[in-house]
Amino acid sequence: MDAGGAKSRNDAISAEDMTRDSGRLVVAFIVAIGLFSGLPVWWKTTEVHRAPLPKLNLEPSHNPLPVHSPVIVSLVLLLSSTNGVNEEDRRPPSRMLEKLQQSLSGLSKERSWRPSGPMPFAADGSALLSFSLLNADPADWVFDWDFASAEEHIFAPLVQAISPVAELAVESQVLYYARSQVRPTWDPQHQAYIVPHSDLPFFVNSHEWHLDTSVASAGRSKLLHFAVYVPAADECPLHFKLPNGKLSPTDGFTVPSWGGVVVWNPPQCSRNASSDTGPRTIPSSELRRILAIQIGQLRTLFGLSATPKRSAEVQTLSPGPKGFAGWEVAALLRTRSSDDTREALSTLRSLSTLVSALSNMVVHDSIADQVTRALAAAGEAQTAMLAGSYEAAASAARNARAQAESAFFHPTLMSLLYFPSEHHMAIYMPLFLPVLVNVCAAVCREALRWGRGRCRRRLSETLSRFKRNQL
Amino acid sequence: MFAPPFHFHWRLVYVVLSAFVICASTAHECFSEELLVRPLPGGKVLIHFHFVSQLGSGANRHHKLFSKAVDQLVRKFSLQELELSFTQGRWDYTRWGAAEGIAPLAAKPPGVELWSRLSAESEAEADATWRNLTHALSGIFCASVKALADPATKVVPILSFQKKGADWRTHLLAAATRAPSEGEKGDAENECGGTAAGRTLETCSLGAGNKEGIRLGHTRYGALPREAVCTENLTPWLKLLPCRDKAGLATLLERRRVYGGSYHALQVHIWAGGAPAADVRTASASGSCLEPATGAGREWSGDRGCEGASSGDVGGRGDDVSARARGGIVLEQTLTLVLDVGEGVGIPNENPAGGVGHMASKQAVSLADVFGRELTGSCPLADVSRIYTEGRRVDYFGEGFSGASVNPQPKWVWSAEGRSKTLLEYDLKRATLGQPLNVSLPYDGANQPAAERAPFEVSRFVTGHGLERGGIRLELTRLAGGEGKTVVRYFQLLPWFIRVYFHTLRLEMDGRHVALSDWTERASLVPAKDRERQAVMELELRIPADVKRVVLSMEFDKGYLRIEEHPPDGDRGFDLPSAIVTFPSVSGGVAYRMSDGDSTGGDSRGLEGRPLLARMQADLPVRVYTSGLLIPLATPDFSMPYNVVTLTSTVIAMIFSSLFNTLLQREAGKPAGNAAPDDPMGRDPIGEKQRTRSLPIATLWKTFARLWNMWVDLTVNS
Repeated sequence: MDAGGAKSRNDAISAEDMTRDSGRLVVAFIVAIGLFSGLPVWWKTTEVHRAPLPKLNLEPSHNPLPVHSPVIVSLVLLLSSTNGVNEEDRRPPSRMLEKLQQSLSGLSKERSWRPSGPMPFAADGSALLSFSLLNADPADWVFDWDFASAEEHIFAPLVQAISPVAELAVESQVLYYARSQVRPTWDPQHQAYIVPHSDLPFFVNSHEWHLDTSVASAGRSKLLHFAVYVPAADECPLHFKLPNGKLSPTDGFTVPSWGGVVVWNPPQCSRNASSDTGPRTIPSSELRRILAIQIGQLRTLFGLSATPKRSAEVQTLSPGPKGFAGWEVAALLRTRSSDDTREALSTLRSLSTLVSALSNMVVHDSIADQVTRALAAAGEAQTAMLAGSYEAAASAARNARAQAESAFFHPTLMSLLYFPSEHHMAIYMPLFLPVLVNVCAAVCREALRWGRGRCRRRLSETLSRFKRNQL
Repeated sequence: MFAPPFHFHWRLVYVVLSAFVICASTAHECFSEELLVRPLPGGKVLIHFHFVSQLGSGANRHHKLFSKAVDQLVRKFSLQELELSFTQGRWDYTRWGAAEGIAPLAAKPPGVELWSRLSAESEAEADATWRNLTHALSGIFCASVKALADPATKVVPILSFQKKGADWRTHLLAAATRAPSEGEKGDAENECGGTAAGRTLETCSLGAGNKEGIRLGHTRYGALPREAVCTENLTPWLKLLPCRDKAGLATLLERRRVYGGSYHALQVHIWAGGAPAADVRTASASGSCLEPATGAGREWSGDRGCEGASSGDVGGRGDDVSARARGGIVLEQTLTLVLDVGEGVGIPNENPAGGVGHMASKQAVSLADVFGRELTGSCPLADVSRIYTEGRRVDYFGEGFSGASVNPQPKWVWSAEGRSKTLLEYDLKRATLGQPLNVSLPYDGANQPAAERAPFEVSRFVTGHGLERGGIRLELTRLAGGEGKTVVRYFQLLPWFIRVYFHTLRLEMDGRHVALSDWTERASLVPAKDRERQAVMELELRIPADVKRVVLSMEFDKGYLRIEEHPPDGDRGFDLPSAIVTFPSVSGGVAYRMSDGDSTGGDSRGLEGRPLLARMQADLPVRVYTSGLLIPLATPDFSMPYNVVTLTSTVIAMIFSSLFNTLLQREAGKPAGNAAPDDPMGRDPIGEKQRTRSLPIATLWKTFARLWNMWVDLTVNS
């Protein structure tokens, strides 16, 4: 530029100052809109719906209570029984108290009441007892059983007795060609085929024993298998060996949360005895014995001892013909309430971990509602337990667990849309990138202009100072 | 006008039923295993396994033989009848026959076919039951039957399967336990379910309310033509057998042979009969209900039929249902294989007139050869264990065949009435123990008797081209031996995206267009609803005796599917399930008479204890399944959603940037906007414009360069 245009440039600079300001204003305005309204709108509209889950109160007081430790249950029962004995004199004599103390110490020593695993039923308290008669080789002999009458006389009272704790249903089937995987060895000492204790885990042949034939076996229901194994002629009589080297008196074993197996040897283990090829029925006395063992196995699965123990100090009430004594059912009910509360809380904890871990998971309001209700019910159960109203506690705990389970297994949670945050960004890149380039360019330009303006001003100042000095 | 389209031989049914029922008492469970071997032309052998498990109506729910899963299925879904088939390969109707004994039992469409009759109070309940049933069957048979739960694939057949529902098998148990005097009533029900048009049946179920729905059952049909069939379906099927494949005839099922053959059909049929009382009530009630409607075009009046039926049923619904739940169940499992008979079989000349190598091609085919396994014995739990081999009389009793290497020796000889075929019966229960069992049959590749075919050869294909329109053409060509007036029933499913124009239905007879209505006895056309319902087309055509070729054609538009409705390989096209052409006037039954054999041993000479023969003797409908069709649909570009997003974003970004730049540039280009507009000392607008018009990047670059120069000057100066 020539020097003649200096004045006009000065004017232009002042005009440019104004322009510069308005351009800067536009850029600042756009950037502000983008930052303070565009970004939040984008964030909000692309967000998945996540209902806020109530914060889990994980204080120690919310843990299941030691209130209904069954030792105390037994204490209550023993007290009541002693009360019954000494109804005439209200004050129990010191001898009685001493004995009671003794019994209690023996009791607490002898039993671990808490079942090792979870209770053997589904979250809704139902379990299906599937009884299977396994004929190892029908070519040798075929046995069937009169399970219908057994159901009527044995299982109907049992199901009735345990109904406060669990809803049990009974099914039966007869399976054929269901050999065990274990090849027993002949033991001349016992004159029998022996399965050593170490081989018991392999006795159940899951390939050949098609036990899961029930339609009810699908879903979240619990299936307990009770198998009666009738050995083939080349492995008869078959016995289990205990770890101490003796033969098992029951010839049965229990698999936790699966069920139990009992071996029943036909009366005469020779093929000649079965000249009649038709199916023979297990005699009813034998069937009763087998089912008694299996009811013992069921008791074991529930965490009770298979048969009521009797010792000098401790005498428990007999379960009687129903399989479960009233006090045992009461104890189980309390255990179940405790378990239910604990399970509900742990399910909720898992749910909250899951939801917080997966930030894209959709959480519907109904799930939040269920969680709230489950927590409320758990609190209710706790209060009821502390107050000693165990029935109310049981139903509240059941409700808590049901709500927690249905929240956890809510189908909308299952159908999690996999949409990671990279994709979240990437899909909008074609919009964001050109816009950002423009805005950034404008910002840069404005910044440059601003810088240039300052330089010019300084330059013109220097020039004018120079002129003044010259003058 | 509406003549009964099929003839229901109730007397024959009694003969059949008495034979089919293998159980002695109603509280008993029975199991029978049978095997039929039949030579086919072209070096092939048909092997049909037939297992029947029966649960007497008096049995409780603790079973000894009967499959628990099936029993629970029947109880849970109040099944009246169910038929499920898994098929691989195509049945060759022209060479393997369609109209006799085993063919109607063995021929099934490729893929999965399921139909069932369910007891339900309403259509909605039936739909819910059907949905659950398909899921349960998927679980039991490890198949994707549950794809049929989609309401868009559900079909309520009106003509075709109602007939089947009312045929003899429904009353299998009922008739066996019921007094013969109830026969007429049973016949009446047959009229109700079978001959009544769909409209009538619907009217009936609507008018009669819930009880009719429970009695007659709601029919549902579905087919999955693309389902692949493999051992994972066979294994659960075997689990329903008491002996599985551990003993008995099923031990022959060597998987590589089974799946290496030309045709393979695995079927399960369940009939759950109600208790006799319930069934009699059903029969009488529905019979009277539909009686007016079965007459010519008279209007149905609900006064007498359904009302009377309902009031006559004093026991009410609960009684009925509980009776059904306690009723007996028959489970029939069949497996049909068409296998190639080894390399040793010469097929020198299939033309009998050629006469070349008649004796040379004649040889014996044994089961051990076919399966590569030897039979070791019968299933010890089976009440009946028999093998039948089929052939011509001359083959068995001529020179070339010696039964010496056969164990057991054939026990009976059965002759088919009016046919040259002979069945040899072997009783495995009487086999000599300790020897491998083997059965062989003379195979004469050159001299197989012609298969009994259906009166017409059926073919169906797609016409037209392009992705917009198309047509379906059904051709019926009369075969030799199929002379006479024929009634043909056509059943076709069309998914909703095949939008058929029913007005384009055209019928040609021997090349001449004829009016469809003149030759249609009955028709039921249910149009499709998008994504809700398939179109069902059922036509019953009367074809005069002198017509040789019938062509039925229709046109359709192809619908557009949403992107998520396409299968993963959308470009392959969409399979249409096989259409079914039924010939109700042709009887598929073969009556067998015992002609010869060892009469010692006290075996009855009738069909008692021979369920397979009884089944073949029954009046089976002669059906021909057409091959499936593959229809290509317009497929979208599957990356389109992303393209749309990109395009939209680009457009928005362009609008934004131009707007943005304009906003900036106008301000920059009009300094006069702030200064006085007429200021003569203002900047040169043209120069400014030129400057601002240049590309922003260039401007950026220029300003950067200027800035850099200035910076350098300044630093040098200072």
